[in-house]
Amino acid sequence: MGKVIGIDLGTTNSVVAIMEGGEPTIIPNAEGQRLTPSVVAFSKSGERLVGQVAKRQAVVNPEQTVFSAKRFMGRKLTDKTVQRDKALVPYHLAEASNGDVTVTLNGRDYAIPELSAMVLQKLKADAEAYLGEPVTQAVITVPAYFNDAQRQATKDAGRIAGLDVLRIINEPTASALAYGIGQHHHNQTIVVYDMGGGTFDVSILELNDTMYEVRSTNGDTHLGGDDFDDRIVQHLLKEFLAETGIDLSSDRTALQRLREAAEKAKQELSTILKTEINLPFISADATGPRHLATELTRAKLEALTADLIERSLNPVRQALIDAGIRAASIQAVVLVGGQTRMPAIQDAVQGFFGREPHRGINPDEVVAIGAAIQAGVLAGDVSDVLLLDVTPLTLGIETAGGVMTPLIPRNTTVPTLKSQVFSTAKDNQDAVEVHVLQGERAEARNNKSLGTFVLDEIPPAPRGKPQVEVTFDIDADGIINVSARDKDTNRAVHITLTAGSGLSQSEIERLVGEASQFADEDRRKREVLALQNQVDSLMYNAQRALNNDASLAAERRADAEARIAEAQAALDRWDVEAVRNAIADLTMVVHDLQNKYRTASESSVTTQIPVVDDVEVPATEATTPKRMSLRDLLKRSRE
Amino acid sequence: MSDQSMHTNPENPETAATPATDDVQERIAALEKEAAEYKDAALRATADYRNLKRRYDTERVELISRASAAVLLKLLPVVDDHARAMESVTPAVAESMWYGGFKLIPQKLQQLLESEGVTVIESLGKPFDPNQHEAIAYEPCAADQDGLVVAELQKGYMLRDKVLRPAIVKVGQATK
Repeated sequence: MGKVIGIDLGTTNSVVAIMEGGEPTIIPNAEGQRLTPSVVAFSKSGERLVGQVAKRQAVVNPEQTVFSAKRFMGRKLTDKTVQRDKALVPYHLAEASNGDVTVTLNGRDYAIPELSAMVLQKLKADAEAYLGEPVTQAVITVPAYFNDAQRQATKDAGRIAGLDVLRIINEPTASALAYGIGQHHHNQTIVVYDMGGGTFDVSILELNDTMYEVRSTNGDTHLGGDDFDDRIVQHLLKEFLAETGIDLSSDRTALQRLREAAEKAKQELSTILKTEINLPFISADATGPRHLATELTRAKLEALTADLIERSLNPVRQALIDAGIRAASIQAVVLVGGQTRMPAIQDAVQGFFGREPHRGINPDEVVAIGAAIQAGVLAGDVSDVLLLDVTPLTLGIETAGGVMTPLIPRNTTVPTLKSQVFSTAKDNQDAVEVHVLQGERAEARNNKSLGTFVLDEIPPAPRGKPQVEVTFDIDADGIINVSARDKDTNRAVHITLTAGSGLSQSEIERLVGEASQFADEDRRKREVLALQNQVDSLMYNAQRALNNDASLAAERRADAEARIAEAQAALDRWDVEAVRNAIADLTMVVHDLQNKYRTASESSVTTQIPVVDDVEVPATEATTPKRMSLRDLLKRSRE
Repeated sequence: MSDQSMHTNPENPETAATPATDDVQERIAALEKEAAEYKDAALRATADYRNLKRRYDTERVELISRASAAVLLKLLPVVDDHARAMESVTPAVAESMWYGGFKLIPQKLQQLLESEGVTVIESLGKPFDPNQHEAIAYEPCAADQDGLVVAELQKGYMLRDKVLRPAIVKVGQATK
């Protein structure tokens, strides 16, 4: 079976998605957009246009541009809703011999499925171009209130487009699937609150084992994001009129700019509390050019649209009544549609049900994602073998200075394997201790210790020379195998650990939260720690030079010692600036001492003092071979 | 074959070993099936990974250019506003030293856009093309201007060979 795509065939916009590597992905269209307008048109020259390009010429080709065809899908011309919506569309509706709605375009009558098929054809072609392989099967979503004729018509549209429609699923069901509702609890009552650009739909679903049953649906076919934009435009027009006496509502260009600015402001106010609307040279009068510059706050927006939000709750109440369920009995609430990004709507929904709604998935794409998940199941993709876990917290080891050096970042998919080469911190260090840690903090002691082991019998060598390869190997069950291998001798030791033992989801979240709380402090510490190697080397070299030079003048010695002490103090204080200064100071001290030293004697000790320039300056933590700390226990037994 | 034989008849070894062998055969079959499934899953996963990587590599190049397209798109309203400002300059202002300096600013912005590969869509007088123009209204016109762009309300721009922002235009409709 080839790839099966999931399609959200919307009234205004359509979205396509597919499962890849076990995860749903939105497929962008040929223009690079994730949403494709559900519009088809025949240009004056008879050319067929689909999507954004069809939308652009709608105004000058109204009778041959079909939008919102979904409103007529599977219906008869004599249907009440058709008669009502007919008045709102500029294209000509006619009747087929069986009474179905048709649209007269380019001289002939097109059935609605034929027109939707044109949109589906474009989606299919764009998906094939993106995936690089043919696509012949799909899952398509429909509103929960679609009857049999409407569902069949949608299937026909798929067939005409060259797609084998494996299943038609309900839009609210698809969004529940996208959020994984029903994966862990098998009996749930769910509400889906779907407010897009032009329509509002609410559905009450009941999940029994693996079947989603629609208990009731309701909505408002003319309530959506566009109405919210409108309120802002009206507000701006009123303000401008009051300020300047100019009525912009008859100025098409100005209106266009106002509408764009209103939509942009509305979107921005979902994340910030106030925004500027800045439209210079919006108009002109006897005194000269006039400008619109004003501020819009979230509070003002909420005041302007409060009645719209309240209005949306009426269909919700009615749907609950129809389903015979109380708001308190609802176990999950899902938000769908771009307009639900508005905090006031989220608050209203949460207040109504007393429960936090599911969000986090792009509300414009969530239905397509659910369709893709269903498509994946039907394609045989989503099986146990491919369900993978992730490590909840970062894993790493302790390195010189009490640092936590991460090897496997949190949320890495397992199974996985990662190796990194480390080295010794002191000359002739003959063993390294691998202390395995789990957590997000910068210092080893602030993280959880999972276990410790020692790799010994490292041949004598200057510090930084031995190559100890530490490997973390996590299997699909989360068992961690940590090994340390001396690349020269091939001697290796390893340990098997179970991570996350006893760490619940809330504990994990707490630890991650703590890490972000201390993020600034930890970052400062990391900066100091990044310089630590360099400072350590310099202090070591300086001290060494002092020790080897008996003839140094007393005050130069005192000066050098003072700088070494200052460097240590700066480290202890975690003072990045002071540490940088100390590095500069000590570099000079060491150069002075070494120059003096070299001219004074030729001894074999030269090889034992690494020249400052050889010390690697860490660009990032990852590029420096880290040194391991030598614990007291080893000191005692070895020296 | 002798009736006094005390041990298993070697000519019919299966007779005595049948139950155990059946079990083993079943187990082997089950394991082979499982192994085949795992192998298939592993191959698919590897193939998916390779395909994804290939796509990722091409997408990355596109993403970088798309990211700059997003920023350039955001700059265009500023360019529009500059143009509006320049259009409403009075003769008095035009003569001022201040204006002499000010008008260098939109020029500079223009240069920046050009260096990024942004070019203006020439729409006036051209046949209406929904790939490059967005029609906002009809305007009555003479017969020879039917279907042509008769007015431009907002400039359109190309980013290299892709439309960055369509021009907003009025299309001529010959009055009959």
